[in-house]
Amino acid sequence: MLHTAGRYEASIESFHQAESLSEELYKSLARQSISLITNENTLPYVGERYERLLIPIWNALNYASLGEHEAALVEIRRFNVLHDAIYGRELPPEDVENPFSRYLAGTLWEANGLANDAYIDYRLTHRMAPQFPLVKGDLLDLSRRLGFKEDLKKWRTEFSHTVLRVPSAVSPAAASGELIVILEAGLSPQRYSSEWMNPEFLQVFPVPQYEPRETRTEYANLVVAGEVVGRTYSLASLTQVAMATLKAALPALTAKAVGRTVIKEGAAVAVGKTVDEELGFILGFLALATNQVDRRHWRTLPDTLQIARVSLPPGTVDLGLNLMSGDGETPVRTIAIPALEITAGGKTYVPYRVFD
Amino acid sequence: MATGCSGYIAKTASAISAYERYEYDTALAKLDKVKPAVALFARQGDDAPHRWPL
Repeated sequence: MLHTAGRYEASIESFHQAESLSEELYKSLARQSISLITNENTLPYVGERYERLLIPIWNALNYASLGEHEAALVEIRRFNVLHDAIYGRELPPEDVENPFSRYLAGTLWEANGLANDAYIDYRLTHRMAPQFPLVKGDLLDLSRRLGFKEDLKKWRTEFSHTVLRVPSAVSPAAASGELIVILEAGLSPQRYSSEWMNPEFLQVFPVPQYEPRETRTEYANLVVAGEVVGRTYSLASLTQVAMATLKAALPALTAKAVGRTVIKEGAAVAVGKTVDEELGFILGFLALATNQVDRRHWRTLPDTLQIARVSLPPGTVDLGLNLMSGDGETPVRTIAIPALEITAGGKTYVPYRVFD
Repeated sequence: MATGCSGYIAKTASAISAYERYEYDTALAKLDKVKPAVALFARQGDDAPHRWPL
């Protein structure tokens, strides 16, 4: 919330606290063994893996918005360390990976003059999101600048039929600056309790599901001095990432739900037989009633993460964001972001949150 | 304690609702009101805020 409200320093502090707490709680995972008898809700919430990885990314955005590109890069390094700790050196399954993080990292390596590192993250971005047009221009430009002739040849062949609508996203002339707009659009899905019928036990078990929430903003046109100078492109659907993460975890969660119910019902039956029939019935009822699924998640995340890059002459710019619906004709809403400072050879990062 | 937990959850949910209406100052003010409850839980050794880190 602090990030969205533009209070970047306070947001950085909060995210650092969240990161430490998440790490501390993660290390105490041994306590999870009790969750089979009770339920997930009795345990501290560590965060899904993709949620934990988003903490340094959001902080990188905070620092980048403050113009502190070196500090933003420190957060990118923290992201890489955490990513390796979670997934190892292998890339995770594509549907739970978030190409936005990689692309943002690429722009920040570039902002710090580290073109080689930027190139690595741009390659990863292209591998994860081959439809994303901006990175094609970056790959062509950097492979040329870095003297990677074979790569340049490969990209030229691969992108030969692509119209690179990159209004100058790359190779800004020395006299220009770059404006990078990050649009955080829509609302992440809501987690709710669903039911699954086990054919073997003929019993219903509670399982978590996600319900996506509609996002009307498909993309945004960037308007400067009455002219459209670029547009945002969606690079990550956090709704899809959340749903894919849950889908992967569902077999284990279902097994736990079955295990919990069997243990509790077994205890209730035992009490009914050996102690008191009525008490056994009450315990059996309570066992089902307390079988609540874990509905916790990072609720304030956006549905999609979008990005636009345009080169502009140095100076102060009043930016208009025309939020567009899927048909590309119907404006959802227009937003004015006044007085952005563009510096020659620099990058100006502007995150903006919309719920439409 | 149950009442404390429900109050904590209700206030946080209310802050999120304000946030989604673009009322950021209201949302942050509501979250500030949750802080004393979080501190109280911590003093009592209760990890409720960790279980409900909305």
